[in-house]
Amino acid sequence: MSSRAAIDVSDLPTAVLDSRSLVWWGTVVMTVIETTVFAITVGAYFYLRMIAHEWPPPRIGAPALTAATANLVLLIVSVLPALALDRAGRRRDISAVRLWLFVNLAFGTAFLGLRVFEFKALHCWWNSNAYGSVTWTILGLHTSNLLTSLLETAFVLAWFLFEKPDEHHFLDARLDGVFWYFIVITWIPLYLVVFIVPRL
Amino acid sequence: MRRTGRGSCAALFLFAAGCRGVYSTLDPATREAARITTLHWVMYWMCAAFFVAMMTVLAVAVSRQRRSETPEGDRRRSVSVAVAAGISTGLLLVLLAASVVTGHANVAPAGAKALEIEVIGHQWWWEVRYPARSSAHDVTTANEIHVPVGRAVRLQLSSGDVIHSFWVPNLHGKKDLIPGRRTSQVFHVEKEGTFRGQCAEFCGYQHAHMGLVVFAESPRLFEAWLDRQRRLASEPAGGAERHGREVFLSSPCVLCHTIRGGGAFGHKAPDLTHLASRTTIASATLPNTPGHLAGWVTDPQSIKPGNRMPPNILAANDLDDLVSYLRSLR
Amino acid sequence: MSSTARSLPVEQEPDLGGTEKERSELDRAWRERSGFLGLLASADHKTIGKRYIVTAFGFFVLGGLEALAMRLQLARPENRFLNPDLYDQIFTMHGTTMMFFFAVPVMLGIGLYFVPLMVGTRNVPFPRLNAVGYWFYLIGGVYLYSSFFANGGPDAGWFDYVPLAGSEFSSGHRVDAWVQIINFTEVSALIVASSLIVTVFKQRAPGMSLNRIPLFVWSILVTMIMVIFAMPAVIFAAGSLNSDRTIGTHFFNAAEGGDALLWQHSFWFFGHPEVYIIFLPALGMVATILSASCRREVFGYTAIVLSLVSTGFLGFGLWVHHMFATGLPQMGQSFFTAASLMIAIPTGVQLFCWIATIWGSRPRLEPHLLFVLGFFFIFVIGGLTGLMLASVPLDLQVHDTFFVVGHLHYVLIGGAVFPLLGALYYWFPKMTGRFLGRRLAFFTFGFLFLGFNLTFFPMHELGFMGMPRRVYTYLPEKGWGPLNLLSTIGAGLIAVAILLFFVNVVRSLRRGARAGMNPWGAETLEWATESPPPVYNFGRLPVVSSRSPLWEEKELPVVTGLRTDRRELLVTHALDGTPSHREEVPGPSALPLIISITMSIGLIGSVFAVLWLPAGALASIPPALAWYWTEDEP
Repeated sequence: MSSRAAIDVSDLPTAVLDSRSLVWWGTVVMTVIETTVFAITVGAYFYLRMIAHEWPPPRIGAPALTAATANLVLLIVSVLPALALDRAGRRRDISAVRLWLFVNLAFGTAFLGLRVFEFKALHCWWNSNAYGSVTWTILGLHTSNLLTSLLETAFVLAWFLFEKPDEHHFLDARLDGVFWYFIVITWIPLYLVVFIVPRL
Repeated sequence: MRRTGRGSCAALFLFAAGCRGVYSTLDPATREAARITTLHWVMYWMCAAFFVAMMTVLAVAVSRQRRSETPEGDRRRSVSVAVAAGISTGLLLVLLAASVVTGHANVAPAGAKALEIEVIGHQWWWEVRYPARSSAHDVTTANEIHVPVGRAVRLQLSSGDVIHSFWVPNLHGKKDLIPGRRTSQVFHVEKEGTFRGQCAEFCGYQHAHMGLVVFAESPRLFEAWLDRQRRLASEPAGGAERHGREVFLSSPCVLCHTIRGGGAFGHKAPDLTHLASRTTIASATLPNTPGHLAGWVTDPQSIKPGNRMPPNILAANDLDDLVSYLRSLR
Repeated sequence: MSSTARSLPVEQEPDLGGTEKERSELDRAWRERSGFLGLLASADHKTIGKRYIVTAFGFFVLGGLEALAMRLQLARPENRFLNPDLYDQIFTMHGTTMMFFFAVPVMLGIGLYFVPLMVGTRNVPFPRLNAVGYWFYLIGGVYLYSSFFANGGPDAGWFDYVPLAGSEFSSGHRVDAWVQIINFTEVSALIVASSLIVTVFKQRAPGMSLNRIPLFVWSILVTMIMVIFAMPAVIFAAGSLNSDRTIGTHFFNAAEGGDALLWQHSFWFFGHPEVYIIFLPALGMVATILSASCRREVFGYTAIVLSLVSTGFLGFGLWVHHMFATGLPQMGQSFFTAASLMIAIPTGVQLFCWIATIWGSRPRLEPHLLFVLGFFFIFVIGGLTGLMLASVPLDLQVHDTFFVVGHLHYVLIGGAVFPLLGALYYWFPKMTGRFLGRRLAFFTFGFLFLGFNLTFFPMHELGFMGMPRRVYTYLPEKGWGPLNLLSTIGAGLIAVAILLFFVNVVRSLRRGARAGMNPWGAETLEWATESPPPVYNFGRLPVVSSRSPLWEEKELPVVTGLRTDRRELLVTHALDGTPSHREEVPGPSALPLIISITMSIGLIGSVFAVLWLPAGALASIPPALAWYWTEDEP
């Protein structure tokens, strides 16, 4: 028995830089997992708030807003270089990708630095009480995402500086930008939960 | 219902033992447990009928061995599946309704005249308290609960360490004792008897032997019992008992046990003020006899490994007198 | 016979062709490395799938031995075979092993092996990541059992209720071992889930639109999506327990604003879907076996798919029925009763559709069909006792008794292990090129069916007689002795059945009858290639135009123009399965193993000192960088 040919795929592209690609789908699945982790943790936050007599607990007070709000603004602004990186990746523009990867890295590092003050603004430690535990966890989870993203940015930047990028790497550069959107988007509700909800 | 119940046990389970007894979910002694038993048999028979019907159809389907691939046959199959799904949904709704109705009836409030009993779970025994108007008249005992027939009983449940679950199958379903929370359970005992219970939430080494006994008595007997329990421990009558008390007070026993009126104020272990009035020791694990008591005092770890009571090395006559003293605490 | 047109005679085998030259090029491009080190570098979905299956059965034996030890201990009242300390470790290990190291991974393994074959592709999209998943699973298991054999087995139950599992009542590192293996198993499950979800959505054979996906693949897809949403709950739960135990957080400490029930909510939000994560793939296996045995399409494809999807949704709305005894508000309990009863509807619909499939066919009584019939018998009982547990008042009586032990084994062994053994009998020829022995398989079934019912049926009665779960012994006067003895005898029969199964596997691997491409005359694509399949799966990728390509097409059309000298996959559109583009995937590498080891050192070390965690993360950076640098290597 012989098989007849039906579809010839030799003309199809061997790499695509958008939502059709496998890595893109993989990234989406990963962000769904991360979002679910955040959602469960925020669920725990409201659960603990529901059973508490006072929230935050007595003598702690609502978290300070200055550092957190400054950081939020910084993070929202950082969408711009991420956007530029995404576009540079799509244009396959090596020097622009290098530049924006670098700018992204700088923004991320600055944000990470300010994060220290956000932890301080909580006025309590992770082992002070359940409120401290859950708020530190939310901040900590987001910070670990941030660290992962910075590491990834550094990897891709290293490749663009020292090796010859091919199609995959332009896709990686784009996805680096996309992952940053994710970090920004998740932070907005998390900021509201950690810093605004205790004031309600 | 009861009669068919027993019959079904014999027919379908082949083991009739579980349907009766002092430790059975199907021999209710309270209004609440009776409702659950009724629901049990309703569900049981519906499920059994469904199972038999389903297996019959399956057996026929497999053994027919006749192939038919017609549009007519396909249509018939669709209709059959839809009808079967419809019937099952109907049955489920009946079960849901029966379940919700029973559930609501069983959580009806007990009213102001209910007898309040506090039960506090510990690793691995039950502290039982009958609060009175003045705390001097509070009764504290352990592992054995007396309740009057015909009056609502409300248990206030809490835990001193980990999660336990209070369960006396003849009386009601389970209710957890959770640290940091208070739970409660209400039941109306309708017949006299002795019922056994046990912790139903895994709570560590001696979860298996965290038993309790419930005595459902006439109100008269109950009041008499409660009255006796309110009293302080009786003074030792003879020399042996007196020496026994000295042994008790000079040994580590006093660190954990209380004997009201006997000079012991420990709070980590069962109150022994009226130990001799109880039928069991070691959380309803051993009968309360001199031999078992002596064995338990000297070597509790080989009887219930891991429990919190340390072994006690006592001279033979000290042990005898200690047991005599404990036996005198009626 | 009107039906012959719909089924191929056994000897007629589909052949996707491909020239000698293409084949040898494919062989070179996809080949795995040789030698022992080569084994450590494997990135083929079939190799990794098989490893999952074999490893899972290894753990199944360990879990089974633990079960036997418990049954021996409970055979008579006040037995002294096991002391409570050991018994608590053993029942915890049994639950943990069977749930996390057998049931879920074996389903992951079968999914990994067969989903790419059934959708007609060459490998999963992230082969190296996929390898990490397996290594994590293996290392986690080895770690758990090393702890156990060093008298450090977790002993607070596989559910680890706080505060019993907290540092105050479980000091030492026993519970820490449980907490850490959760990280290992969850990482592995999430990796497989990501791999298979993308495989199903993006790598289906041209023409395989959503409504032509084989039912087994649907069941795996729904399962993997459930994994994605269920695992984060246990990540949170185990993470919080870990930090409560090690760095003094207060999630579950009522004195500082935490709550013991928060643990139960987050654990069961994962734990209940977990049951469906085990059970849904088994439903897919049942459907697969039935269509092959009856030689007709499973009746009610759309209804079954919708049932699977709705089970996936409803599975997340049931968790509170594990907590009825905690005294939650009545209204909420009624809602969860309703949800728990309603989930019976989609399962019922599937059972009815399967009976309708058998009706009017001539089912061939091969062992795999027998296992499916055993599944019907046992699972229906388990489902019905499940209804009793869904009802709040009844649950309060039977909750945490041996009734539940009986119920859950009817559901998990009847609902998952019976179909699994059937599926292994059915797919063994594809995986190895040889048949399993038929006679031994019948004997396996006989012993298992008998032994199973003898072991677990009396447990329902024991529950009504008031026997709680997780007791290391019981007093003689309670009258539970005879039924327990019966149950222990049954467990012996199960052990015989499992032994026969292993004898069969070992014998058949060496001397089993050779199988051709499609020995059962089945309809799905895994039968359109050699047995066992070559490393690249198909000489040429198939193109499909129906749900049952091997029945409907005399001659399967194929894809041409895919590079054969590189590891190229054909990526298709998610909905209609039309070709989109070609993509190259990475090949074998030892880096997944290396990075799994560095990260494991961090995780396991953190049990003893928190600083190991960042140390492990830092140590993982160089292998990660090397990974990134070598992804394009041919």
